[in-house]
Amino acid sequence: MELGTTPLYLTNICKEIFKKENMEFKKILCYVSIIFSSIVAVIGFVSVVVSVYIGDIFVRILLVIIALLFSVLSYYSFVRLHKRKEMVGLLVFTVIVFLVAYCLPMFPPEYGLRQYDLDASILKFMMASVILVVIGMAGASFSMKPLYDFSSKSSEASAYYILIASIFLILYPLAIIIGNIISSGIGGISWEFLTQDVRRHGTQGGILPALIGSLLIMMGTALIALPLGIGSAIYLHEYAKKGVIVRVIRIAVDILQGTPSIVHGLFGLALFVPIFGISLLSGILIMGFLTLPIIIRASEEALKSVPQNLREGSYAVGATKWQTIRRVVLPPALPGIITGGVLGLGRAAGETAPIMFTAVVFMGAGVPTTIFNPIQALPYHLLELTKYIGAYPVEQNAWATAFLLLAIVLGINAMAIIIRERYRVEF
Amino acid sequence: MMTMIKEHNKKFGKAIVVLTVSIVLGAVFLSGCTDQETTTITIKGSSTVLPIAESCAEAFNAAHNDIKVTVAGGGSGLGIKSVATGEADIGDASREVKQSEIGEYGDIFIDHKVALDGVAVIVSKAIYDAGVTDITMDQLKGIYNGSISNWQDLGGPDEEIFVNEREEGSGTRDTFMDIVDLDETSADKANSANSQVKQAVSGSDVAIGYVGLGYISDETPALKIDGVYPSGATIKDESYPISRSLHMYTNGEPTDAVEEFLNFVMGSEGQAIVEEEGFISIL
Amino acid sequence: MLKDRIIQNIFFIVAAFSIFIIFFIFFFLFQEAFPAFQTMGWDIFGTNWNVAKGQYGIGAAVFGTLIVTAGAMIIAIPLGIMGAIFSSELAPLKIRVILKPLIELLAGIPSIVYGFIGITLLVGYLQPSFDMLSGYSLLTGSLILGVMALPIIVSMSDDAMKAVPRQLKEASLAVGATKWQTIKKVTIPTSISGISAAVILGIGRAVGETMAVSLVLGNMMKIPIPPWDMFETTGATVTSLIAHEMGEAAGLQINALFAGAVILFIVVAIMSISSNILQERIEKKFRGG
Repeated sequence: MELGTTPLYLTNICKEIFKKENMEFKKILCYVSIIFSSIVAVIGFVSVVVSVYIGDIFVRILLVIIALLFSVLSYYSFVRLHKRKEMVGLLVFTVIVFLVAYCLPMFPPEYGLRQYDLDASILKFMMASVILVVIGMAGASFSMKPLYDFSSKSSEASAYYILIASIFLILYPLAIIIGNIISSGIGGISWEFLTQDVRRHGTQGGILPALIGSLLIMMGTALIALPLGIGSAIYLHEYAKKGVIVRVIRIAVDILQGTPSIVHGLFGLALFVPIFGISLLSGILIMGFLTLPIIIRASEEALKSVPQNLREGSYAVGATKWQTIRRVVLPPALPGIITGGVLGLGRAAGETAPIMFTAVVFMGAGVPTTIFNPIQALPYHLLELTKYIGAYPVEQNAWATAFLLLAIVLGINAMAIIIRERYRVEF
Repeated sequence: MMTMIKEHNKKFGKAIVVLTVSIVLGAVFLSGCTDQETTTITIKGSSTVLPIAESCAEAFNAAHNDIKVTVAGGGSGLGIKSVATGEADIGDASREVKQSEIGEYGDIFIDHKVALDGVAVIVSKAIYDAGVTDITMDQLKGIYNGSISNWQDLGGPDEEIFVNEREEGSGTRDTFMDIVDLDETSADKANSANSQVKQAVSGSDVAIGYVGLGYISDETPALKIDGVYPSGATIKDESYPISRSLHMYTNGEPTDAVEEFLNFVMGSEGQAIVEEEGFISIL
Repeated sequence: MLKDRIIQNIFFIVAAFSIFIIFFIFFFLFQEAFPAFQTMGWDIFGTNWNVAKGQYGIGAAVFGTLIVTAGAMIIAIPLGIMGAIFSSELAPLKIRVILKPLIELLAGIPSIVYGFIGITLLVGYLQPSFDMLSGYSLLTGSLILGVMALPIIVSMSDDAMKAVPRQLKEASLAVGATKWQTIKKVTIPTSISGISAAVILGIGRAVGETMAVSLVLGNMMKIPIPPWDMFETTGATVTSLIAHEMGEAAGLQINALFAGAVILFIVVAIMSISSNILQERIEKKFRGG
C-alpha cells in the first residue's frame, strides 16, 4: 500500500484505519499516535492563541498519554522491527515527555526573563502551551518513523507533516485578519455609512468623501500609469535592442518597484506639494509613479506570452512594426495588461503613506471641485480612526472602514486573478 | 484561434468601456453637485485643539454652503509653521507662539484665544481604582525623569509605570515640560496625538500620560496635582498648576471667511461646542 | 517608415521616463537631505535625537529598522521556504489552485489594515502574554512585518522551485531517491538563487514598511538596554520616525528625516538590484542549459 505523494495523510489515515485488511497493530498504533499528537499540538496552539491555560492536570494527562504511546512504540520497534538505535531514540523521547509531565507543577507561574535584562516574562500558560505544541508535533512526526519501518520514506513522511503544519501557520494570520474584519466590520456597513459625511471625529456618520477620494485617486492613477506603463513595456519588449540603456531602464523599473511607499510620499512632498499644494493632483502623480512598475511588469509578461510566429506572420504580409503591434500583438496581450492595470488599481486604493503628506485631510474635503483641492481617502481615514481607538468610540466605524477597504482591495485583486485565469489563451 | 481571441476581447472591450463610462459619468455627476464657487479654509495644528476645530468645522460647514473648512492635526509646531508659510489659513496651537518663531517668521501672528484648557495627568483605571488619585509635582517630575519607576512609590500596586509622553513639537508637551520643569524624559512611549496617549493609557493597567482636558474620561481618570483637580473652576482661577489657553493663530488680521469662522468659534455656538468637547469656554 | 521611426522614439521616451523618475526621486530626496549630511556629518548616525536641542542622530531608528527586519526574517524565511516547498512540490493540483491565490490575497492586504489589526488585536494580546510593560514594542513590529514579508518569499520561492527543470527532478527519482530527498538535494540547491532573490525582496519590504509598524512601536528614539531586548516598549524605525515627525518637522529636522529616507532608498535599491541580478542568473542557467 503506497501512500504516494499526496500529503493528505490525516484523511488517508482515517480511511486506512477502517480498512479491515490493513488492521495491523503497528499501523493502528502509529496512526493513533499521529492523530493524538496532532490533537495535542492543536490544543497547545489554540491555548497560546486565546491566552487560556487548560490547567496543569490536563496538560499532564495529555503528556502522559503521549509518553505511554511512545513507550509502546519504542518497545514495538525493538521487538518487532529490531531497530535498536531507533528504539533508543523513541525511548529517549518517551523519557523526556514523562519528565516534563512530572515536572510541570514545578514550573513557576512565570519565568522571568528580567534576570537576562529582558523586559518580559514567560507565563505558565505560554510555557505549557508551547511545550504541548512542540511535543505534539515532534510526536506526530516521530510516529511516522515506525509506520514506514524507519526507511527513508519515513523521514519523508515526517518532513511532509512539518511542511503541512507550516502552511497552516502561514494561513493562520490571514484567517485571523480577514475573519475578524469580516465579523467585526460587516455590522457597521449600512447605507448611511456609505453615503454620509464624516461626523464627530469619525465616530458617527459615514465615509462617503473618503470613498469618493479613493475612487478619484484610482481613476487618476490609471490615467497616468496605464499609458506610461504600457508604452514602456511595448518599448522594452518590442523595440529594444540589447544595450546599456535598456539595462538601465530595467534597473530603474526594479528600483522603482522596490521603493518604499513612504519614500514616494516624501518625494511628492519635496517636488509636488510646493507646486500644487496638498491636492488630488499631487496624490495622483505620486500614486501613478508608484504603480508604474507593476503595470510595466504585467504588460511585459503579457507581451512575452504572445508567440513570436504571430509577429513574424504579420511581417510576412508586409505590415510595419507599429501595425503589427497594434493589430496582432496587443489584442491577445490585452487581458494580461488589464490584469496588471487592475492590480495597480488595487495598490492605489490601499496605500496610505504616499498620500499622507501629499493629498489628504481627515475631514472637510468633501468632493473636490478641482484637482488642486485636497481629498479624503479610505486608507488615510482608517489610519486616523486607528489612532482614535481608545480615545473616541470609533470602534464600529473603524472596523467597518477596515472591512470596506479590505473588501475593495481584495475584490480588485480577485478580479485581476479572475481576468487572468478566464481570459488566459493557451497557445 | 484568432477569432476566439477576437471574441473574448470583444466581450472584454465592452465590459471595460461600460465600466469606464459609468465611472466617468458618476464622477462628473458627483462633482457637478458642488458647482458653486467655494472658499476653502485650511486649519492645521494642535491635536488638543483638533476636536474643537473639527466639531466647529462640521457645524460651520453645514451652515455655510459656500465655505468649506478642512481640518488636520500635526501638532502646535506644525500649526504655527503652516500659518506662517501660508500653507494653512488658521494654525491651531495649545501653547503661545515662541520668541524663536517670531524671530524666524516675523511678528505676524494674530492670536485668537478659543478656549481654556489644562494639561491633565491621566492614569489607567486600574491604578486609579487602586487608590492612586493624587500626585505631587515632585512625584510627577520623578516619574517622567525616571527616578520613580514603580507605582508602589505612589501608594499603588507593585508594578512598573508605563510612561507616555507626547512627540516633540506638541504644544501639550511644551506646556507640560515647561511647568513640571523637565528638559528630557525617560518615557516609554512617544505619542503623536492626545488621542494616542489616551489609547495607550486606556489599553494598559499601569499607564500614565498627559492630555488636554477634553480627553479625560472614566476609562482614563485624571489625578489631582497637589490636591487640585483639573476642572473649569480650578483652571479659571489658576489653582490647577498646569493650565493654558488654546489658540487659533492667523497670519495678520483675518478676513472674510476666516474671520467669519473665527467669530463662530469664539461666539456662543462655538463656545458651546468647546464645552461639549470637554474644554473650558472663554466666555 | 518615418512614422514608424517616430513611434519608436515616442515609446523610447516613455520607457526612459522611468529612469527620469528614479533620478528625480534620488535627486530631490538627496537635495532635501544634504543639509543634514553637511551639518552633521557622521553624527547623523549617532543616537542623539533631541529636537529641542537640535540634535538629529537617527542611529536609534536605523537600529530599530535592523532589529525589526531581523525579527521579521526569522519568522518569514523558514516559514516562507517551507510553505513554498509545500505549494510547489507537494500540493496536489486542486490544493495548489486554491493556495496560490490565497497567498496572493495575503500579499494584497493593505499595510494600514495590518497596522489596524496590530493595534486592535496584537498589542492587547502580547502585553499580558509576555508580561511586557505594554504591547507596543519592536517585537510587535517584527511579528507584523514577518507576516507581511511571508507572501513575497512564498510566492517567489515557489516560482523558483517550479522553474527547476523536470528532467533534473525525474533523474533523481529514477535513481531511487524519495521525493523528499529529491527536494532536499536537487530542487532546493538548484533554486537557491531564486529563493535568495525572494528573501532579499522580502527584506526590502520589511525595511520599507511604514504604516503597519509605526502604530505599534513605542517610537522613542532610544536603543533598548540591552540592545537585543525586543520586549521593551521603546524603539523606532526609520520609517516610523519619518511618519511621525514629518508632519510637524522644521528646518534641520526635515533634512534629517529626508536623510533617513535617502538611506532607505539606497538600501532598498541595492536589494532590488541584487535580487534582479540573481534572477537573471537563474534565467541564464536554465536557458543556457
